[in-house]
Amino acid sequence: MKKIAKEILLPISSIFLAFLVGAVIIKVSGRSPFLAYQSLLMGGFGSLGNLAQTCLFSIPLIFTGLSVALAYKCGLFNIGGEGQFLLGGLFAMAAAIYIHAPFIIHFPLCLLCGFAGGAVAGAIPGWLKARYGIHEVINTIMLNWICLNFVTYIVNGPMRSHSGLGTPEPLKTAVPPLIIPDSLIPGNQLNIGFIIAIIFVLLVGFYLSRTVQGYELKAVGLNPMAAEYGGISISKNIFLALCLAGGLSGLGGTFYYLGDLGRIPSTLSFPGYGFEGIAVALVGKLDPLGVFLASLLFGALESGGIFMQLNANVPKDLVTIIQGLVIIFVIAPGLVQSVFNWYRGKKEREGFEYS
Amino acid sequence: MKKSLLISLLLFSLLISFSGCGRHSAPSSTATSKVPVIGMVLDKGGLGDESFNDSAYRGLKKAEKKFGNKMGVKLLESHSSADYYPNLQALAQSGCSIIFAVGYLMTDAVKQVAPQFPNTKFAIIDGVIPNLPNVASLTFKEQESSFLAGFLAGSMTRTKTVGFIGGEKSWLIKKFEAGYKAGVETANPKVRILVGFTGSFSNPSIGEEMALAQFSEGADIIYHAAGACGIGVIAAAKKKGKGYFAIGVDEDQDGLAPGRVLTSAEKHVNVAVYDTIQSFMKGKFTPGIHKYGLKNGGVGLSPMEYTKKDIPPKVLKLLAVYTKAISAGKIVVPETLSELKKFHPERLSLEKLTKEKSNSKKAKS
Repeated sequence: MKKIAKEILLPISSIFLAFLVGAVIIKVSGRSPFLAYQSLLMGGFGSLGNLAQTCLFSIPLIFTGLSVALAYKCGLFNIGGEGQFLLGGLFAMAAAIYIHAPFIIHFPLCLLCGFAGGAVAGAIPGWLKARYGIHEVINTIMLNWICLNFVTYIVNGPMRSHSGLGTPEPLKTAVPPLIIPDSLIPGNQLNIGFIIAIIFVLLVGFYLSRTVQGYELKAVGLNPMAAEYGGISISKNIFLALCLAGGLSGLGGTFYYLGDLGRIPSTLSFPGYGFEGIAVALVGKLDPLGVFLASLLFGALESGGIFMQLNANVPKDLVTIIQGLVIIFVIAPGLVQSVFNWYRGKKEREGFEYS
Repeated sequence: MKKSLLISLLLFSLLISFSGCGRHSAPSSTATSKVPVIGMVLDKGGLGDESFNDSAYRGLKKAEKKFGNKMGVKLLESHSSADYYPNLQALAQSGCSIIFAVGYLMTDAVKQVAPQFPNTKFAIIDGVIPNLPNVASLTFKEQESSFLAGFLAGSMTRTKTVGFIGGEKSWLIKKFEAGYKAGVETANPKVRILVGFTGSFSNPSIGEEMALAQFSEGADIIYHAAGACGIGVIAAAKKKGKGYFAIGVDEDQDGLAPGRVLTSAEKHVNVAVYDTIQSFMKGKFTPGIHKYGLKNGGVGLSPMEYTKKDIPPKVLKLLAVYTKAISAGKIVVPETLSELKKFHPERLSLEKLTKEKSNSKKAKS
């Protein structure tokens, strides 16, 4: 119990510290931190509509966060989330446009294609790492650019629509259905991706902690030599981990392009979710449940940031700053720890004085 | 001891934030009163992009200056494509009367949000949404300014070769290409036109490479419609030095390389925004497609601050004549390449014009 509390304490205090530093920045820029954070909170959770928006923003983050966490459990740093996200989105979009089938077949098929697309983008660096030992950080980063340019080419070439906005819209049978009826929260866009994301949180958690395959994967991450000595294949698990990680990111892209945007736009840049996934995974302590909570936090920041701009006149860049600060504090636990130690030390010293 | 310090600190910070709060909530309370509020959603480039986001914001600022207390302003920047929809929705929910969506990438989002708020007006820049009763589409006749740029290039070239570098082969960029070609042809049908596409709007080095290639093929003036790639085109002209020119686009880019940018084919997003706000304030908002061209100041050439002295007066006069003819609808500049094939350049010469003028004067007298 105490261990869990300690695990949670670090992210929470990091978040708190980040907001504190953020407040100073807002104050220095001549705006009101109180009003800013109030509208941030209200924008994130203040109404059912805003809550739905928060959940919608968190869907791609949950998937890319899980992707990074899973790869990390195998000792791999997956920086290719962006490329996997894009390629997954492309595969899913192709299935959504060109395949005609009833919803019950078409939609799952699109998800499968999205997963496969991401998995392909993960498999290439996975194979290079497993077969030739080429470092996955370099491979995944470079593959991001290849994926971006490839998807840009396809979207502006073979899959181009007449509107000039990008690909055509997905067929009705492939669009992720909304969870909450429009009559309840008018204009909400929250789709079934959120529920599927929760299912994947549970699945990945189960896979890592309850299956033999997951155990092998973690063993390779903890100590490859020892794992191999125990009869676990390093290369097989590395390849598998990056395939699965890629697939998860690909699913993120699937829901983003089929649901949120309704097409892949013609002027593409990196969507940013792959990199944010790294942040989410770190803040979530590389644990599926933690990833879920961190994604909700980041989603709330995105959604609340709109209202912070609107009501407190604080640019949305501040959200980026706070996200950055959270990450700094989380990945530099020594920093937070030293604050704690200083506090504890002071208390002890004071106690000494008083005694 | 420790606790009291902590509490006093907390109180202090609360005090600071409340004092700040009081100061800042004042203007927002006036904004929520009965005056119409103008909303604007900027695209990913945001403020400071030196291009259409900044230009749209200038238009908004100008309107704010003119109407003062009679209108409020709310501005949202987008960080990703996923922001368009919630941004537009948030502005509409906060009670904006008219909302500008800056950039055609927001077309889908406007199409989805506008029907939810039938009493709110929307205006999209560069996008085309023809059949919603509360949406105005503000488009530009880029072909007209491109025509003038082409005419100038065709008149000024010494090598009888000019270049065009576009970003992507999209309908929007084809408008620039068609207008430019028509302009060059009108100035001098014997001039060769080299055409290239960078396939991107964001990579200056590709633009520079392509421009240097066109220069070495004999071109001495290159017009670009390639966003940030065009920065490279201008850099290439600067590298080649005297005798070589680039022509800028969208904004006045003459100052980027003084003397080496012949002119810039400007697109005045600010004019369209200001114009729309003005007609809205008069209660004359009209949905549907609005076209901003030379006639209503939506497009035009830059003032040519650095190059005007090198351009023969005769060419400048002809430019003015063509500007007038296009504004008056006497010359219809082709919008697409298929229209360009049917385009027969009408060659206006100064002598003929002065004769016509004196004839008409004589006739009047």
